[in-house]
Amino acid sequence: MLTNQRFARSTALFISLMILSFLLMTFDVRSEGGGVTGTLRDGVRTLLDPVQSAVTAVIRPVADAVDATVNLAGLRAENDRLREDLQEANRTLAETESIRAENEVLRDLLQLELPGELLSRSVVARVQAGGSSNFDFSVVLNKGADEGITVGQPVVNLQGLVGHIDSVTSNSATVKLLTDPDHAVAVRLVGSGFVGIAEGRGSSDLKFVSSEADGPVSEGEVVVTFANRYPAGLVVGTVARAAEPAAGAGILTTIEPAVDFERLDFVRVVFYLPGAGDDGATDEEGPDGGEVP
Amino acid sequence: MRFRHLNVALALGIVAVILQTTLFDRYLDPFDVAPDFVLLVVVAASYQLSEEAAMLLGFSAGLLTDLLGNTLLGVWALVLTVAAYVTVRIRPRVEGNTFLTLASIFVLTVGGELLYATLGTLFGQQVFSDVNAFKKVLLAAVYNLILAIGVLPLTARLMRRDPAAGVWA
Repeated sequence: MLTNQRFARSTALFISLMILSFLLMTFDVRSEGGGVTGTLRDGVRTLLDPVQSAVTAVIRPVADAVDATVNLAGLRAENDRLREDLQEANRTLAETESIRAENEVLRDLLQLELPGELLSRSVVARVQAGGSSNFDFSVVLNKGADEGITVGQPVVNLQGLVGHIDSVTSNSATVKLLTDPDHAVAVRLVGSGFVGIAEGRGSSDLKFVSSEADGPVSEGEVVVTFANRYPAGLVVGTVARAAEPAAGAGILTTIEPAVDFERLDFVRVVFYLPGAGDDGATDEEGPDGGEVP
Repeated sequence: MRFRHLNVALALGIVAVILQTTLFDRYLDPFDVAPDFVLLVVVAASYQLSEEAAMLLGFSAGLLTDLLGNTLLGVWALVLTVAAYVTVRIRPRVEGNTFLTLASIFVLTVGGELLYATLGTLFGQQVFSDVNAFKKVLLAAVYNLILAIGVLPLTARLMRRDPAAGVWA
């Protein structure tokens, strides 16, 4: 009898928790991350941000040391390869000068928006935590609304576009990465000029779809953002494989992201919001005065 | 005694979530896949707790995972509650058998990740659009299997059952 009562009680609790979970999911979907669930999320993140920062501060040096030890042989090989690359670079220096001049002309032709001015209105942040599971394509930054960060702002690093701010608390911000399957960005191929959409596919190359493309695209073509959610001209990656247009269906290929998402550390949040001003930059500035490192 | 064990379990759950988001997802993710450490801790603790305590732990740890991550609120809460419930149901059959216990960890990790992916997809998240979804599910289960060798005895030691009570506290 006691066992039956216990079984009934635990089953009732199980069913209650299931219903509660479904209610939370429904509230979260309907409030689109805001409302009560948003407030709850912000509160917990604010509470645990210092803990995450402290744990990361302890783990990072150890992980870096282990990483360096493990990769020692690889670093030696890479060093040799870099020496060869340097010799090759010296040989082609003269050629590069002429290519640079040509590149400037091409930029003018393509009317790419140089991000230099935008970068002066930005703040540098550091990744303090990753996603909560293998299907969570986000990272948490150690700066938030107190530094002028708001939802929607682009996040870049020296390699290129990382993603955009998805949620913010006073002292942390969550970045939705380019690789998130729910993420899509308008892009332009610099070489061929085709415009299309780059969609995340999880921890893999991005999918590139262009219905307007009527010519071939070649492997290695640089892909940049095309003004929409992000300022135009931010490097997204390079075309991973050449493709020919299918009859009436445009181009379908993949893009290798420029950013190494596994080794994200310092990033820059650009104070840019679509339609916020002539150049899209907001008036907010970080306390560091927007210094570019 | 009951509350002490539940408190220890909840503390373990919080530590697991913090480690998942800082250590495993950022640094200990061979082949770009991290173990599902929170699920592992919930299952391991569920082998020691009462049915109600195990489910409360699963729900709390899942909710914290949802709140700290960028996923739909309630998905991990549901997944980990189910994992805890299944664990306490199969416990009498697998307990004492190391092979079955480890096999249950593997199966529960695969089942939990697939349930998460299915629920996420039902609620509009394109989890199955990840081209490496199945590789992630399987590798996470393998990693959990390896980690379980250390985590299972540790949780058993931290939440040692009260022999006088005769039930899981």
